[in-house]
Amino acid sequence: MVKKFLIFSLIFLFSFGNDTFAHTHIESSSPQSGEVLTAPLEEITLTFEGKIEQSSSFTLQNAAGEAVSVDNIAISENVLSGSLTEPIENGEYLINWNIIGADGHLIEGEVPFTVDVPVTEATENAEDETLDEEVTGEENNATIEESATTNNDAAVEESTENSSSSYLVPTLIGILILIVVGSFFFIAKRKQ
Amino acid sequence: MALLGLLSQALVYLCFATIMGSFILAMIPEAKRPTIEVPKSALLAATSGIALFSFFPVFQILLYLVPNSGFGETLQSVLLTFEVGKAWLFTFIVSIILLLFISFFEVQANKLYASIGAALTFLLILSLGWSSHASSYNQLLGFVSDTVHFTAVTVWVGILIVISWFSKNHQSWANFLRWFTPVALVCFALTIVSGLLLMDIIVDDYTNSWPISYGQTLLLKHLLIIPLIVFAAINSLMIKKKVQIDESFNPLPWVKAESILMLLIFSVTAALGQQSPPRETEISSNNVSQLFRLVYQGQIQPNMQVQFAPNATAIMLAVVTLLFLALMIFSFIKKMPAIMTFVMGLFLVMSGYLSLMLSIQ
Repeated sequence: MVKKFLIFSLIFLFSFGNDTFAHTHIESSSPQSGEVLTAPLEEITLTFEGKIEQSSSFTLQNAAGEAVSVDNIAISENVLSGSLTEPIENGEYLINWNIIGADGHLIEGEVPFTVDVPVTEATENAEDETLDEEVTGEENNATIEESATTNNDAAVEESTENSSSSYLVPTLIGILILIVVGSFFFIAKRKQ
Repeated sequence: MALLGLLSQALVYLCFATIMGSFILAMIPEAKRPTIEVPKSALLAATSGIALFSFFPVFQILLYLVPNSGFGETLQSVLLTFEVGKAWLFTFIVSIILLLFISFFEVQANKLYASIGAALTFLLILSLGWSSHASSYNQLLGFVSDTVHFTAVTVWVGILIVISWFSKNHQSWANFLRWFTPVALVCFALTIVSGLLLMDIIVDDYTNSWPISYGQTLLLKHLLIIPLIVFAAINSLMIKKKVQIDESFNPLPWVKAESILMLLIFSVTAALGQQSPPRETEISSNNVSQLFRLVYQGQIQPNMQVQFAPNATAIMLAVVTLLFLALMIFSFIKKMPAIMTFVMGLFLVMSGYLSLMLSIQ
């Protein structure tokens, strides 16, 4: 019994801090993640890899973090959908979804997107479109740069963290070699 | 909560193995196995354990949903419409039948009763496969490989656990090994093949999943299989000779050690079930496993690709790993207690793990 408990506690040590359900099992979505919409958004659909259970849901929030109301949230097999009765203003939005998969796992995730519907009338349509494209391109660049800087920050953090734990691995290796040699002599000493 | 989930899942596996092993061994003629006495209470406890511990995933969903809507309504919707709920309800009903069957019939004395018991247990395995991980992605293939995987493990480990913990003596051990070795080999082959199939369904890119928790746990499981194979080799090939030469040699501690290693693998498997499997493996700073963070020597970059590039230290550790493997067998030859081989096996896993982690670039 004592042995069993020791073993279980060993395993617990290994599995600490692992209870995050942060993985996306989303197959596709409309709007897509990071998409910039130039037409008014009427419906949101999230398609998952497998069947999702009742009470799976999602919410929509704007850049200020305020909830935007979504109507008729419906689930059919692996598709979660909802409709927007009123057009939403231009800006950045975030879909926060949390679902229960058929395997019983609670999974959550988010889909960011931007609404950028041209405000001007349809007279200078062609020009507008090219303009929009340019704007989109610029925005994309901006987000890429942003994420690049955060990445660098993360890497810097990581390296400082590593320097503190860099003794651990060599020590472990040393101990393992000592154990190999020690056990060999311990076993070899035993009379047949 | 994750801890409770892990414990309940590992116990479900243990209960299944105990019941299946008892039924199968009861079907084997007494001349071909040691005398086995599984107390009826143990069988009843294991059967109730299946119904009880497999409720945990349902309980977790209930806990999550009850604050939003009432308890009665939620319970009804979860048990009747959720895949996990329906599977558990089925499991519950079958385990009650099995429970009544075991309490009113002498299942261990009668081969027909034992086979009915085994069939009912298989029904419970089907139910477990239905509600499992892989079945949500690729339904039929996932269900079939999961069922084959779990059935093979249950048969093999079940016999091993029952024989090592409930044997009254070790008579006819050579006779026992004569049929058990091929059975174990077939089960092992089935486990590996179905396991690889499952892995192919669940994990897109094996080595790239190593930095995240799921990948770490899966790697740990695979590393644990190495000492298990060594134990299996000792218990089948080497012990067979020993028992034939020396009737008084007691093989039970060795099968016990192997069964404990099995329990370890069960626990790791249970831990896998608690984690989100990686579908689109993308390494980012918030999904990297803490253990990996501690051990990995390089910089953890978002979207890093795991490349295999062993350096001198990693190769040295690989040699240490092989030395531990050799020590496992050496320890047996030198008639050390089984625990020594077991401990060498654990060190094998540790150095193998470190060696692989240091080979990553």
